[in-house]
Amino acid sequence: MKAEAGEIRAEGWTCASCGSPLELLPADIAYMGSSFQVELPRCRKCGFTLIPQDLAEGKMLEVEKLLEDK
Amino acid sequence: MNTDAGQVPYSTPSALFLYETRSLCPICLQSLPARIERRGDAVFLSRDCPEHGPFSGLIWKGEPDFAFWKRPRQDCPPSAGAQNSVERTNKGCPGDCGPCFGHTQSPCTVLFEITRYCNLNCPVCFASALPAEAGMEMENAGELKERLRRIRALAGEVVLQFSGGEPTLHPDLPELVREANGLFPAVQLNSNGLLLAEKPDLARALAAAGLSWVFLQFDGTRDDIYRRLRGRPLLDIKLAALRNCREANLPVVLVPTLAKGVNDQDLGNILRLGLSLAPGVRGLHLQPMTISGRNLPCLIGGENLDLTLPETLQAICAQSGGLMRPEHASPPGCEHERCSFHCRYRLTPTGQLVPMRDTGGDCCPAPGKTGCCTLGNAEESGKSREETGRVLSDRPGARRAVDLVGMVWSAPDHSPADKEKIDAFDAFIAEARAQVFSVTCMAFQDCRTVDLERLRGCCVFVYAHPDRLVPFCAYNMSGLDGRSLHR
Repeated sequence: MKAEAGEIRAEGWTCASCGSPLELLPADIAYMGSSFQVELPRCRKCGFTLIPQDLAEGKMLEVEKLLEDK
Repeated sequence: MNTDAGQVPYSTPSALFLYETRSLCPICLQSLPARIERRGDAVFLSRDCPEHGPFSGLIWKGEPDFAFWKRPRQDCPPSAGAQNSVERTNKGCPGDCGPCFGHTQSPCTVLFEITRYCNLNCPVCFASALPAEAGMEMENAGELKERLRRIRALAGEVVLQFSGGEPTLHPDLPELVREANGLFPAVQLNSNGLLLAEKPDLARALAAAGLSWVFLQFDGTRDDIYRRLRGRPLLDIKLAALRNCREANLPVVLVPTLAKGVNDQDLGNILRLGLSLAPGVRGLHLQPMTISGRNLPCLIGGENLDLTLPETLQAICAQSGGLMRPEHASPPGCEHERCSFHCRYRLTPTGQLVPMRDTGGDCCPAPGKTGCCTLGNAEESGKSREETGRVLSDRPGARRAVDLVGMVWSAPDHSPADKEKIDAFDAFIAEARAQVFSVTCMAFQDCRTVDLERLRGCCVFVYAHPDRLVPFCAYNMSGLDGRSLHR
């Protein structure tokens, strides 16, 4: 597993749309009938969410493999 | 032409032509144009051999209807390395299997037969294994390891299955598993379980060597079934093998060979036994019997023992006490759609099976649309996966199949390093891997049912002499007169 929840940081990231700093905020992620509430770097103003590469290629990919069809 | 198991009188007036394909004469195995024809709720593969006359083999019966069992699939030909194992084609499909450039799917599983000896003498052996005997010669581990490396070079990242004969007879099996574990993402053992039952140390040694799971031949919960299919009562031995694997933390998939009238009415009992032993037992993998190898004479002129894919699905659902429903089943995205079905569940603490995919909607896209199971085309567009930023669902069918069976059939060992920081993804992964239970079915083809379109889409290969990959059904294909295509 590449990414652990504790490793996700919002510091240093800014929203490309409005320039606001990202903050760790709750995000609802839905995939193939399952939903997950996790904290991710988000823009409080625009609502844009950053999914770090390690998370996408780590836990999210593992979840995808469990849910998707053969 | 007689009307043996699974066949009906040729071309009755009610036959409805569906489409053309190619098949083989069931006797001389020559390639022939063929017709897919419907008669009521049954579908047949019909062809005419100039030498042996007309023949019609049953390929589908009942619900889900033939017309609706579809799965969009992109061709994903084997790598150039695998294709190069055939220098040229001269006999035509499937006589040149290597695979050739006409094959449309990459390998997801490769069988490696490390011995021809077996400690059972099953009347239904498709491999025509030799009886185990004192002083039987085994190839040395060094040569077999070299072949493992050749398989890796030819096939890439596949599930490596040790097979035979009975592979546990090889004294160096743990050493070979350790070697394979360093080469392949998953290592599977296909076993009758006799030595796993007799030697608890063997299961422990295999687990320590990195074996991912055991495909345990498990035909039923009654000894009369084993007497019929295997020639002797074996239930106690199978249960002992299961106990030893469980104690060694070695996952097991129960693999029944199904024959109508012999054990198809025991499917519900096999399911309940498997569920009672979960998560050590990770699922059932049903294999309706085909005729090839040694089982030819025991079926020809005998009873109809055939079960088609939909009949098998209906049978297990009907016997499941409401746990399984036909709509839980999906066609595969790796092998040809008519080769298998799979149902993936979460087994709840109260013993219910909850489908692990949203069966309320269609995950497969309409033609021309993008769906959640659309096969990736990032590479085709000239961009790498990293460049497109796509991670989800852009893996080819064979790669997805390898990943999926690795998640579903291997031991549930997900444990986040820091339990204080478990998030919703961690919780889902841990729960799903501990509770997942799969019911899958693989309908192999034989000389009566072989459709070359299906064969070209095959992703299960046998590593064959000399140094080539042959689709499983082609490798085991025998004509009704006993002649063999590749063995």
